[in-house]
Amino acid sequence: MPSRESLGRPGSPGSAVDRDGPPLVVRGLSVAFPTAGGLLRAVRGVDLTVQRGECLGVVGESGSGKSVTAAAAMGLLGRDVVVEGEILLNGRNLLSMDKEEVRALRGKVISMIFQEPGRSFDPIYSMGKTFEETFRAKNPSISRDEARSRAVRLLREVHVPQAEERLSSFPHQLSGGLLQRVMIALALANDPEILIADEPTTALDVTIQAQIVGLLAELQKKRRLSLIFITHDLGLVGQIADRIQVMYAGLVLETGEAAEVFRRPRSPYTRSLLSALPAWGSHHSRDSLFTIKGSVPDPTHPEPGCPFAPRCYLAVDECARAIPPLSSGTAPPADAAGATGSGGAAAVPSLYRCIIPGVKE
Amino acid sequence: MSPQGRGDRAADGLSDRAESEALIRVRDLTKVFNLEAGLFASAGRHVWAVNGVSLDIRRGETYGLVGESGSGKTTLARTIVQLVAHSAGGITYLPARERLAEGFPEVWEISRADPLLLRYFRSDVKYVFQDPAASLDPRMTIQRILTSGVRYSPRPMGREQLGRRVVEVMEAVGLRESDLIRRPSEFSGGQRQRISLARALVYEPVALICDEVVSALDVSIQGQILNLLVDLKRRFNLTILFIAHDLTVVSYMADRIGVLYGGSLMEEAPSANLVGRPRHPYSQLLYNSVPRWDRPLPARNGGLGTPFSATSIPVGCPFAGRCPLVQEICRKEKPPPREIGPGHLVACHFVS
Repeated sequence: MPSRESLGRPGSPGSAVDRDGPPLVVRGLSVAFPTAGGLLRAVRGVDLTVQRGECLGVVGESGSGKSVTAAAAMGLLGRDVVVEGEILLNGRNLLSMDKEEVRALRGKVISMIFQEPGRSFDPIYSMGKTFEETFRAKNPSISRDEARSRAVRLLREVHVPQAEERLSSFPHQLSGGLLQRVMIALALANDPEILIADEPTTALDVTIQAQIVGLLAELQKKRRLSLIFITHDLGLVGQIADRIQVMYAGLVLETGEAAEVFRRPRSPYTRSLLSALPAWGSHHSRDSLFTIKGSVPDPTHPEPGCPFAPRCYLAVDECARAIPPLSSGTAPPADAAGATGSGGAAAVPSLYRCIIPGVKE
Repeated sequence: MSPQGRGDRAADGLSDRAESEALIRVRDLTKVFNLEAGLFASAGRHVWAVNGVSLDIRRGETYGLVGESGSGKTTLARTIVQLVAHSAGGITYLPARERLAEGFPEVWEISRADPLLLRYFRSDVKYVFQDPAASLDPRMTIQRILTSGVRYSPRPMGREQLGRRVVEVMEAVGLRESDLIRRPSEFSGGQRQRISLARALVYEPVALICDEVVSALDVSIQGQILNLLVDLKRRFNLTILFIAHDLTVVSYMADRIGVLYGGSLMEEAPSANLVGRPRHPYSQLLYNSVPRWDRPLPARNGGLGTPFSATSIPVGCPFAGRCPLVQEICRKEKPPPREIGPGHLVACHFVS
């Protein structure tokens, strides 16, 4: 098995920092973890691009590889993990950088927030101290007063009430929602271009979730952040994302503009997911939920074909032969419902993996 | 042991039974947890987890209980089956006549029941937990998991009858008979939830209390389990108390919904009414917070409010601190649930 070092290609054309292109481009990313049961193929060739000021939603069930993709982009994977492909941050390949270079980029170019804010804080550090350390990591000469005033500005930006008093609070004194706000402020402390939010609201109540997602959307616009929003929640991703990638078993099965993916889901997997969820206002006495049979495939022994084939309502023998390429398919995009148009210019057709011709309604 | 004379007066019960179709009746139920328990706990602190809740779970219905963390929904459910002792109020069980063994009262005061009556009640009303991994003994085979309760079951079941029933419930939850020799670790999360349901069904319960049974599952598996619950309910004529934090899931499953906040019932209505037009300001906040791809993110509703926690004797409406309609009276007087339409109760001073 090739090691991580041997696979990291030198950065794409020149290693000059490219400020006009997309801040993050991932090409052909594969990640595998050595386990007792064999190599666990968590990500199997993922492409991903985020533009400046754009929110990309990555949606998938557990084991889809969405969080591993994010960890790879942050350079957080261990040495024994087998990583292939390219992760270009402003044109420079993260996979060919040394540890120090990656550390310098983290927080400054790319930053991340996690699911359980409570676990990401040191319980014996006050908020003020946590901010100070965070600033100091990138700017060792920052004074205490300077750190304090910048921390207060950041806390106000994320709408933490009584920002000044909060600096002397400890993590256990804050609610989950407030902690998540503070974590967002910390992630933005060194003005990154890209923010990855990995299930940032899964541990929170819905009313608090709505506040946090609203805050992320606000910051994304105000700061022109490239936001990667990772979630299992289709409804949520539809509210915040401009574009969506639907992942399953380490592969992107569908990608497109959010509205398009929801209005005209193409991949049988996306469709199955959307019809397995109760629709708002539906009731079991009238509407039954679409059943997706079986469960996710074993990541240590991936089959050669489409990973969803064993559970797919459309599958034919051929589906088991090879992973279908991402394409816009054979059917014209807006034949059925598109006549009246659903507002706005002609949508870019989504790309999806399926060999069944004319998968549409 | 004869159950003669246990429970409460049957005379009262007859009139009760006639006037409503309640299977389980909860009245002014309150549960106060003492935070003094534990070495480092501060003295004299209490939490009002459930504070004066009254509701009926009707025969054959699915009653949905929705609320956020700390709303008291799990405590309420556990108090009903007395997994947690209640502090005040009453829980009454009105079993169908054919379930009544000789000498049993028609109306069972669960809140004051003796151990034998409680055993019958718990075999009629089964609790299904959120995390099947934690509630199934990893060392037991599925066969043992399903049958080990026979020792505790008050309703006798012969070996052969039990064997037939086990096969029946395995088939009903979509598992194979050959799975009986396997252990929980060999199953996925969704399958383990099926095992939990099978275990609950072995002794022919009347009702299931399903506490967040799908919230730990992926979307594709969640759909399977919800469909299964609908099937099981029809097949075994069950009454279900369905508890979840997800309003969409609750409204899909439930016939009637109760919205809990801060240990109190804020609103209760037929599912369609609540989904179509929630009336309590808290229900509206909850409704607006449901993430739906077909509508934009909500405006900053509910401000920066944080969920309620009653660590001192609660006065007034628990939602007052976050409510857009709040007035002086809300902080002083707790509004009782009032009927604003057929079967539609709202506990708010300003909704009529």
